[in-house]
Amino acid sequence: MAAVARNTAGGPPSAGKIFQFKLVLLGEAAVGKSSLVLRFVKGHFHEYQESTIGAAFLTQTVCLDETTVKFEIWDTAGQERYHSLAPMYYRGAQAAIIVYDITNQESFNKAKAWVRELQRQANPNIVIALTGNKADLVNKRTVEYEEAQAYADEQGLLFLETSAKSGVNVNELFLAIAKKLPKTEPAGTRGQGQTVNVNAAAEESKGGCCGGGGGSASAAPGGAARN
Amino acid sequence: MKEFISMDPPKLFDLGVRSFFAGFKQDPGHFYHDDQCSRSGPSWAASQIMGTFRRIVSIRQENLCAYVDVIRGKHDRLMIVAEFHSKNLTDISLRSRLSSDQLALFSLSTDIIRGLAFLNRHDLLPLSLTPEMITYDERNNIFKIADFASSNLTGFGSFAPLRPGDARYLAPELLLLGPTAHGAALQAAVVPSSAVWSLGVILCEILQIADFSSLSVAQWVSLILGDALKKKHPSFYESTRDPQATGENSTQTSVIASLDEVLRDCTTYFPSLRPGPVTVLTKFHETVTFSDSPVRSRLYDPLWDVFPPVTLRCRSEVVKTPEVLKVPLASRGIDELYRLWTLAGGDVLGELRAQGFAAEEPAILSLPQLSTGEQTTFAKGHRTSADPSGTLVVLNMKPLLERLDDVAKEVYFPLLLRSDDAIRYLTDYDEMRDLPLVIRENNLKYQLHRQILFHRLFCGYPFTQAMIKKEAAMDVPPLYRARTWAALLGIKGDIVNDYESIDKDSPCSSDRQIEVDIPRCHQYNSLMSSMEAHVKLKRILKAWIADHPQFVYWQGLDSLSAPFVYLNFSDEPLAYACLSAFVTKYVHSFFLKDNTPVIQEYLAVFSHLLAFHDPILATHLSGIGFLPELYSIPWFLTMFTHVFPLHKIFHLWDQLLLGDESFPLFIGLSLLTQLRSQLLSCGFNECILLFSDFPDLDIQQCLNRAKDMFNVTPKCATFRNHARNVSVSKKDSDSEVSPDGDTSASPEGAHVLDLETLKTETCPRITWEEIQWLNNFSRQNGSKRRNGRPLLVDVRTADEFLRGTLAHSINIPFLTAFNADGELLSTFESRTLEEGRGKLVVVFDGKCTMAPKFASELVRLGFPHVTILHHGIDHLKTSGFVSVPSSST
Repeated sequence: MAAVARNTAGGPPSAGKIFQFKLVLLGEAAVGKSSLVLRFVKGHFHEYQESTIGAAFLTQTVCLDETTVKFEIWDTAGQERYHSLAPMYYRGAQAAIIVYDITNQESFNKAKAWVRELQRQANPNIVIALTGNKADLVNKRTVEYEEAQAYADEQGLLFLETSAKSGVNVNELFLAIAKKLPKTEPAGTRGQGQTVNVNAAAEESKGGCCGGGGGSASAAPGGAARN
Repeated sequence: MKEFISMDPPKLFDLGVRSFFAGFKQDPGHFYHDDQCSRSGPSWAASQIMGTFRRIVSIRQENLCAYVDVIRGKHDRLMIVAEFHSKNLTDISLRSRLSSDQLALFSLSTDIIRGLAFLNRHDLLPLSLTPEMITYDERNNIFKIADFASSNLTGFGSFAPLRPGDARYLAPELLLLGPTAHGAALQAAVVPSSAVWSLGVILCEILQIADFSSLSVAQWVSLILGDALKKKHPSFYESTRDPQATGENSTQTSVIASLDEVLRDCTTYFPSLRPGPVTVLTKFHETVTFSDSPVRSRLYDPLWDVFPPVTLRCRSEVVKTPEVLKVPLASRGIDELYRLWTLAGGDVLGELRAQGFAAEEPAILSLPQLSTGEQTTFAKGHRTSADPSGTLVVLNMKPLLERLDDVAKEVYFPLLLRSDDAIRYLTDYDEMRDLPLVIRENNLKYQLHRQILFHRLFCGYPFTQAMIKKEAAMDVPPLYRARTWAALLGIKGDIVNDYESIDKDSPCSSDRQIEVDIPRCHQYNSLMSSMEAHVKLKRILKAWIADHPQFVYWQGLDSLSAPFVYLNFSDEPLAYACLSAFVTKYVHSFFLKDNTPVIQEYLAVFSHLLAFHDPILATHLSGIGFLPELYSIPWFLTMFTHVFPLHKIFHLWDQLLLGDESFPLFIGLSLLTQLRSQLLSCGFNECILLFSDFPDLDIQQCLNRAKDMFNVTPKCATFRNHARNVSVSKKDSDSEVSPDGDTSASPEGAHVLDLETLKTETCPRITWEEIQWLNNFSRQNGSKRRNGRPLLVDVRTADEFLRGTLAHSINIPFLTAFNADGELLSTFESRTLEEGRGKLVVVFDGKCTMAPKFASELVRLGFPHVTILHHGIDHLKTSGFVSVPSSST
């Protein structure tokens, strides 16, 4: 819990290296993807969290012993129809959280489908975490813990049951991902790599009209300078 | 005759307010109980009451006292405002007059039964009637049922305590349940004839058939139930009536005799044998003939008639009695009056306080005493003793009358059609037009004028549609927003029948998605969080899906529907008709199963428009990879309903609905340009975070900017293949108005461009037809509006240029235009271009090969308003517009 620094967009802690990772949340509609992110990033929970259209973007920083990990989180729309947008967000992602609702077997099946899709099409080194959310509704459980754990073990996924409502295991989930992510490159190159990936994905659908595909956050001052 | 202004409020409607606290009473059998969502608590209960209220507010009939407003105060105090008449059947003199006046008693009975029959038709069954509830409207000489929905509003005691009415008027089937019955059990026991019983008992009381005053409630209950169970007499009337008693009052005896059958029917013990209001009404017509019933003057409010009128009907809006001419304000409907009353400083809570109710409690008293940590708290109840539940307080209308004292009578009866348009408005209102919207919306006299004007315009709808558009371009009176929107969307025909004929119940593949989306759609709004709203939203969504088999449900359609559901809460068919028309106009094809080409085209046009209006921002954003796909899909798919709360959406859509289908793109642009400086100084992450948590923007400023950009954008720049009715859009000449409200004829904007080309290019295309139109336009209107004549730039080689080009064009050959740093080489022509910065630039070559690249370079260099000539000049070779440039140019 204490390892999660809130509102650290301004400046990282002085000690250690900073790593930036792109993380994407996927899963059936209304399983609690946005709620998990909001609990992690803002510490909030809204019982009737509005649905996500397209995708939402948030960032949060996690401090490990030696290093600082900054997550750039893409929270995607759950409705199946928005599926065609998903590759834009998961392509180039270093981590993915696939969420299902422990009270809804169908959402678990959907989660498995997402795992297969990522294994086939995403970054081959992507760290995937399977998450059974709504653990507070344990008396309505339809997906057994053991079943999901066995599946996760078989596929080599991280696995946790969480409750965005009570906060149980939410930070632990992101910490576990942060720990598992390979920390080989310093922040600068990582960050750039991340941004290129977003562009590459976007360009694929955009036809590359913008010319500045290789731009990164460091290109910002250049753009502003022309003003 | 008294002067009307001197203390004569009964000439107007009077309004009364009742206040009570919402609270949730656990009731396992009740269908509202939803343990899965664990929705409960006073706030939730208050939302339920507000939802039900919005349905009930539309139940308007001449024998029912209209409900007008509900206000939610602190601690979930609800204040219900309704039509009020001071005279009711507890009035001794009224009673004694009735007891000997056969005709009046018949009027009373038929009036009340009519009201009950109407309620019956709307599935509203009052628990009972009491003498207090039967009020007399002196102005219209009519009896009305007041407070008819109190039991329905409280969910029969589930959401707020049932007001303990006099049990002596409760029908036997309800007495049987005992005094603690509430919720579903109580609701299930109420039948249409329960209130008929009450009426029977009240009639018996008036006719002094039985003496009530001597009996306690307990005695009464045992008398009735005892009698009923003995089954000796089928009705209370028969068991009580003393056939031997030949009253000393012969008039009364004859009255009783004439009502004999009705009394017997109404007081039948067994609910299954007791006739419902409709049956009683027919009996009444058989037994009673109204020989000389007085002609009643009624105010007729066409807005509550079927909207919109299918055929032109000349209707007298106002009954021109001398009274109305003296107090013209009385010609306005109760909703307008209430709205004016609030604008005149009326404050419902203040009135309650002034009369000693709703006293402030120290906050510490309402702190929870126990909290379980799972959002459940236990607090001490409110001190209800200081605030008797349901006490009626009459609102003081005097300030309203005084403030409108000096308003000329002509204001109440405006002439809509005059030969000289300019004198249509009084100067007062002309001055108001330039004031900020929020001031106009809260100005009493301005709203009086606007409400009357719009009301009159609606009476002539659809023939007044153009005038409604013109007026709405100025502002929309909040009271009539729902109707105005319907008019702007051109809703016509038998919408009720259309809606009812749609299957809203059969399961469909989107059911689960709808089920999970509705409970989280605009839930910050208490009305939208009511079960009533959830049911309506679901029905409307399912109707839309069923009625549009070519489209599917996309998340976001729920948000898009919410403004219509909210505004037309009591008129589902109209809400549906509006949604349907809105989607067709603005988000046409967005809801196709495969909408990728539609969305991509839309966003490509959006990018073009950004480059057109703000090349610096466009260059920066595309440079950092901040692309519309990543942030603007929720804007356009939901027409900003997913971005802004409802109260902002109302003002946004007031303007959006006046624009054509491209206008939302300009609102999107305006949102970007509002945050321009922040966006320019930020990188990708910061930019996208800026839009994840939308900052508080000034909507009016945003709309003004959008309108400005709309006005200087060539029609061609917004052309989309996937827009609605590409070929016919301009035929229907009065269908499109600019957001300023004027019908500006602009040229054909149609041109076909494939998606790949559209996405590759930075700048919008423009057709030669539109360039010519703009040339003519600038010739006629001087250079004020569109920065004069477009600047034509021929980017072919000098040789080609000299062989023939378009009149007034300058030649900047692409191959030699830029230096190694990408800057324009200084020549006479490039300086002309620099000096003309801000003008509409049209870049062309033979076949659009170099022109798009040249245009992109200009955007990179910060040139706004850059376009590409569609098809290039080769296409125009035989048109006669291509000529050898004269040496002077």
